Amino acid sequence: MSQRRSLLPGFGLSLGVTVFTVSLLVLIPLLALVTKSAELSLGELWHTLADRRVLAAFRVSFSTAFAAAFLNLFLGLIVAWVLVRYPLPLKRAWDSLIDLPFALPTAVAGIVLTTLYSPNGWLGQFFAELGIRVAFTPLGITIALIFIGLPFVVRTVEPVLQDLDRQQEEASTSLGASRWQTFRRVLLPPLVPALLTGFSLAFARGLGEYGSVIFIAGNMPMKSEIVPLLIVTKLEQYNYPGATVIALASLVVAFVMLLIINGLQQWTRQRTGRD
Amino acid sequence: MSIQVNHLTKRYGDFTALDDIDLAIDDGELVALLGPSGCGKTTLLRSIAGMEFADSGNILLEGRDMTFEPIRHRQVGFVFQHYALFNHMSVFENVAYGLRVRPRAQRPPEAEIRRRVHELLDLVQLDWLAKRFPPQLSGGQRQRIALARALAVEPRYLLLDEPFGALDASVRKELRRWLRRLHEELHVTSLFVTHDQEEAMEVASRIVVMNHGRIEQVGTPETVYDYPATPFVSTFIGSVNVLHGTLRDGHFDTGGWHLPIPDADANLRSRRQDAFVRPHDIEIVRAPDTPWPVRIRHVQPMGSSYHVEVTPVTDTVQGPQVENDYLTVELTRQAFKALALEVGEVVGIRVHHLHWFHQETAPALEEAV
Amino acid sequence: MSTTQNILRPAQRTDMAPAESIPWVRYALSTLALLIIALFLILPLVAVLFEAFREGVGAYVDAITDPYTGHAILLTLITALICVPLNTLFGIAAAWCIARFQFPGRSLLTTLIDLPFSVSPVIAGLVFILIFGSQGWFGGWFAGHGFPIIFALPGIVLATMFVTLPFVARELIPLMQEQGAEQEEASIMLGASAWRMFWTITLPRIKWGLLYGIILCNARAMGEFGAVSVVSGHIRGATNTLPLHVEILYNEYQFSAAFAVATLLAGLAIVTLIIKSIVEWRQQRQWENASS
Repeated sequence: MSQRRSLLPGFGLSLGVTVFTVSLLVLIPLLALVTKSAELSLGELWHTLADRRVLAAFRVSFSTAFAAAFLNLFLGLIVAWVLVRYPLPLKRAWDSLIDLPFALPTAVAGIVLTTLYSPNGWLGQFFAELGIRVAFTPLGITIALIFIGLPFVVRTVEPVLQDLDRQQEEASTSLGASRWQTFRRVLLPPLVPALLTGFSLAFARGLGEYGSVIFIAGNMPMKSEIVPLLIVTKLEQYNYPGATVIALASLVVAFVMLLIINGLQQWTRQRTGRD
Repeated sequence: MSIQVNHLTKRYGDFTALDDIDLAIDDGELVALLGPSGCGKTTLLRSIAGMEFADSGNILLEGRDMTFEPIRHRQVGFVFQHYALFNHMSVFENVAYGLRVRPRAQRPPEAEIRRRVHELLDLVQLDWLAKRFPPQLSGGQRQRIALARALAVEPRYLLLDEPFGALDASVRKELRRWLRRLHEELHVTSLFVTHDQEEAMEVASRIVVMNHGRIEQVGTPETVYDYPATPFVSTFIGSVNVLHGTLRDGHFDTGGWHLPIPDADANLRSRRQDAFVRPHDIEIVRAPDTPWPVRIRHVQPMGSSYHVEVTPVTDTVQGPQVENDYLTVELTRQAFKALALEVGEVVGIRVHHLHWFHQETAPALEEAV
Repeated sequence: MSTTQNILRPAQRTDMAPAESIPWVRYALSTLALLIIALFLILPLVAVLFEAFREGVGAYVDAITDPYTGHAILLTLITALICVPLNTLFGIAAAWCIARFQFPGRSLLTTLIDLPFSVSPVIAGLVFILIFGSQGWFGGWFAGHGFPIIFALPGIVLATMFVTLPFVARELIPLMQEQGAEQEEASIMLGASAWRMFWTITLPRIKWGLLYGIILCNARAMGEFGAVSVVSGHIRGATNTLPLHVEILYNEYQFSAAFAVATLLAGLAIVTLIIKSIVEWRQQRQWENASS
């Protein structure tokens, strides 16, 4: 409206800098992705995407990202619950460590997880005794993605747990509910939107994750090859159209998933009447 | 004229915040902008300050058109509703800020800045807090520091947005008196926004009553109370009883009650009319043949006075039409004690003053009946 | 996507009284949580150190002082030194216009700033190849003028800037919205110039949030692997950053050397977490002050 005249200075400059940077770094590059894909005919598009190896890579990426995000729902909730509610020695230190996966370069995470879970590694040997191979299988990928995704769930659930009204729990108990009933019926519903948010963030990150996965994955086509790696492989073969199409497809699919989860989240929010 | 506002209009989308506002304020006045929330009073204040820009109309300060003038040329001191003190600076630095940010050529020397700041802190009686930080102060103290900070730049106009809004009732009362005294001392043209009519009456020398982006009335506290210009003003300022009825033959009729009206109005054309009566303009009498009988419904002691709710007693099917079905009567303590009223008993009332407004929507009686 | 809310800020900690709960449940859950933390977070850190020194201190020192490692450190520092200040300026500008003004397209702009969070780093690298690669839109032109972008420093910088773009802005936008514009308005009312207002009011009030964003931005800039890997070409002694160097050593089965170099990056992560905790603590105090 009357944006041309405002009390605070710097609107033009700051907006200019922002729009320029976003255009240069985000908008134009993503447009390049779309236009490069559009250069292909529908037949070529189909041929690239319907390839068995490509489909297998999508299946691996989706199933491992989903499994990891799903397991993180439980692991993350337990960690957040304990960090918020229970007295613990060195709580601050544990809490800071939660962010390690954000701060630790993914390549480092990748090589160290591989070493830990390889058949003669510290943890891998126990699994080996049980006849389970972790490293170089989808299970290994899932482990790496659990590591990467854990802070997303913990950090989205923590503030909501923090803000929960203690009196509601007391009211529930006073009305005769057991602790489990109180948890199920009073505590869990307001946590659901936060859990869904954490899940979707971890899932989205898992779909695109590269550094921490490629070492532990073993990268066997059809078995443990993830989509980002397939893109890199196509690039190394100078198959730019192939790489571009797969990249665009994975972006589209990721956004559709996020939209669905977003919708689900809004639905639960409305249902539980919480914001 | 110190501040002159001409035909100021401002819209936000479909909402009209200011609708063709005209206003003139003299040098040294202390004026209240009074109205319910959303009436446009804050928008008007911010427009005069130069913090918002109207769609049309103009603002003259000392006769100069300032509508498009930047803030720093307006010589306006502004006190924000929540004070907007700089929390990361000491009280001293807050007050000194306006002097320190001046261009080098106009900036007073450090010693002069110190002297001025301490003078202002003395003025607001808070010099002993100079080294503290705003979060360590009470609400009333913050308010006074905000005022000192605004005065440091020696503004020609002092604009205050809901200056007492965020304070406790007792602190608020004290600060009101203090602000009035300060104004008497400094005589800087001041304009403050409030939604509290009592506050406006107590502090301001003139009150501007606003509603729906328009000015309803401008006048001294006495004028707006005794001679409200519109129905809105009579209901917003002080409490009032509303009667629905007709004006006829020098009387105001409502369901069998004939209330006398001043002789000057006796020749008025008959018509449907709402009439307004202040609670203290009604007297309760113990007369055997009372023309306007009422039953005592509830007695509310208010400290120095008593509020008595009464309902009309009538034989006719359609009795007096009183808004909310009861009248509030305000009695002094002595009057109440002397009458020794009981809930449920029937007494009479006498109406001393009643006023009304020419309603464009009210049809003339001849047409209606 | 509104899902990318500000997940980087942990909850403000108010140590409440221990919840009244059945002791065995409490102990069981606490043990489980610590086990998760130990297994997934502490053990990897310990393992990095252990593997780094598996072949002795001498081998560790050799790996660290290797000239290729030195060059990788230098390149990583240069990249961070370019990206972090630029993204800091961007973050301040973006937060200023988004948190202080209403304008059409505001929420679209916010979404676009968030976007790099949800794009795979590999795709982040790929898009710059599409633009500046030898077959890309402008690649031929830049290379023809002796200024190659892909497989060179500019490509690494671009890819790193893409993945770190949201960090500072995402930290500042909610903070500045929470703080409101009143103090800045007051500053302008008192006659301050835009420049004075920024240095005396805006910056002091956002400094902890800004620092927080810068630290995270820096950690990511120095540690980014996927996006940089795609655009760098892995040329040893030329376009090899520290994380890429770790990968090369590892793939050449020089495990100890790989982990030795990895300790540098793990150290960076630890320092980041420590500074972050301090900043959080300061910031929390500031928020408490501001709200009291």
